[in-house]
Amino acid sequence: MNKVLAISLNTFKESVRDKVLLSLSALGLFLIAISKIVVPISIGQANKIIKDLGLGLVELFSLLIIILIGTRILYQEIERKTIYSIVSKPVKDWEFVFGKSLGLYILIILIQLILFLIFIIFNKFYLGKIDWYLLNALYFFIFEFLFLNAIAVFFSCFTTPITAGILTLLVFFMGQLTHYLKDLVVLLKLPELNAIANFLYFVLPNFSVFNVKASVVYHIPISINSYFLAASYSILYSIILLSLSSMFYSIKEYL
Amino acid sequence: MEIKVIEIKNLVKIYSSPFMRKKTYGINGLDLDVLQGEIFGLLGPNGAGKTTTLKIITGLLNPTSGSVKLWGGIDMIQAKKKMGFLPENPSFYRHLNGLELLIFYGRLYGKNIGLEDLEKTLDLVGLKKEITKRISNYSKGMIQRIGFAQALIGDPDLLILDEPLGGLDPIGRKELKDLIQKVNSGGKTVLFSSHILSDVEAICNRVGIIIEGKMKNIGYLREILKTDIRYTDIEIAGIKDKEWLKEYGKMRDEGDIIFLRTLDEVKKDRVIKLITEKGGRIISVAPQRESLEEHFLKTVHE
Repeated sequence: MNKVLAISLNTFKESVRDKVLLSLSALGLFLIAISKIVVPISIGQANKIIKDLGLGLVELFSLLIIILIGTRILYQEIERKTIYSIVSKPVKDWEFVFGKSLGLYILIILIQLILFLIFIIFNKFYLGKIDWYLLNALYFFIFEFLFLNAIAVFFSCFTTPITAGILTLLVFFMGQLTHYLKDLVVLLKLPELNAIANFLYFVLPNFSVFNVKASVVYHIPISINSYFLAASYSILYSIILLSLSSMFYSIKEYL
Repeated sequence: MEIKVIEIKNLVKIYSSPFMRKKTYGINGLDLDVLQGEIFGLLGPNGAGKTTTLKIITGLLNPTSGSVKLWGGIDMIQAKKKMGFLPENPSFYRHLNGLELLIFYGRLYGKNIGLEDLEKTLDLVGLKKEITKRISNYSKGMIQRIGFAQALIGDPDLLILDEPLGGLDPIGRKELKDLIQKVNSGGKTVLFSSHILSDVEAICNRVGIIIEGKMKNIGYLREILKTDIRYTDIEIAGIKDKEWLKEYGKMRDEGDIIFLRTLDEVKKDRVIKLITEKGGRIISVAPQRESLEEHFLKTVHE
């Protein structure tokens, strides 16, 4: 475990110094800060719109970090040949892949915490009170991006960063629609496809289990099952994806 | 009894692309043994398969066929614990400084190395003063040194160095050669590849010459280069009439001093006797054997 932590800490330090991260963070802060401009056009719905917008921005910037940095973390090691001095050491493939992934994940959590903190401070500033119920969204974000991080690392094992970024983005958007699969079968009146729809529903990434933004903004109670489902679904799926990534790495060669 | 640290038998590495029919042999039936405690030099022209061999030993590449046994066939992870590797043109994390880099690599060996030991290693490679300098600000020579330090950080029994002297100035090369000999005298086995034959000749016990993925010649330097005297250089002074010397070999006249290269042992003995008789003085007699460079070129062209 010491080796995983060493690799993750190094990845975290490396990513923190990435210029892309600096630009993204500055842009994120700027957009959250100027969210006040929506107040005059919100026709009395400022409270909800600011919250909705803020949560959307935290999600968007976490997504951009994964697309722009996450898909490069493994590729860079090979491109810069720093991997030569890792693979020749007594490090197992899974230790390398999990370590790199964990390092990026720590960074994403940190960025989310900072953005969330600023978001809450602006809430207090614009709306006069702190809405602690918003923290529920943070819980779901943490597991959503654990999953998405694993997807990005998985794709980056066998494609270029650009392709991995596009594929990750596609999975993210398709994953928002997975829960409509069952409805689609009913709507099209094709009961014979029920089994396939059910299979795809459970196998394909389903990001709706993490989407509680409406409940958080409108203070709709979230069931305890939803918390459990989001955590277990994300952890299980991430372990499977990172294990597959490790298998890819075990057969990889470094010319 | 000689212990084999590395035992390679009939190693083959074929590079092939899934979209191309063409197959390229990186290594084509290579045999190699590296014995404990020796400095083994791997020689060969560009593309001969030196780096491929070292990468297979260190686990960066998988062989197509053949066998590579380390310490008699221990598990690869166990073998890597006893191995340190310096790749060709090494590259390290630019955001770290020298000390942080060694701490990081030390942890990959599962060790939390103390500051004193880290400083000792940095001192050994001559980087103690650059301890807090970022790798991004290191020169080529410093990168090579920190690369050597990271290869040493796990206190390995076997050091594998791919072109460690490449790109270094003469002082840097001399220091690194001394360092290789120093760690070897401490009991570490060293396997390294190089283009610089004089350096290999200066520090290796045994050498292997790889040509087109095959081991063409392997052995102790003294055995490989143990050939008959090829010619003798004689430095002469005090001879006024010089013309008669020409029939004994190739002559170079530098005024008071004459250099004569004789190819024949009988002629050499006769000319030495005649020089003395004619009142001349022999300054030096230097029999010349084959150098590693000459041997290498001969092997390449065979």
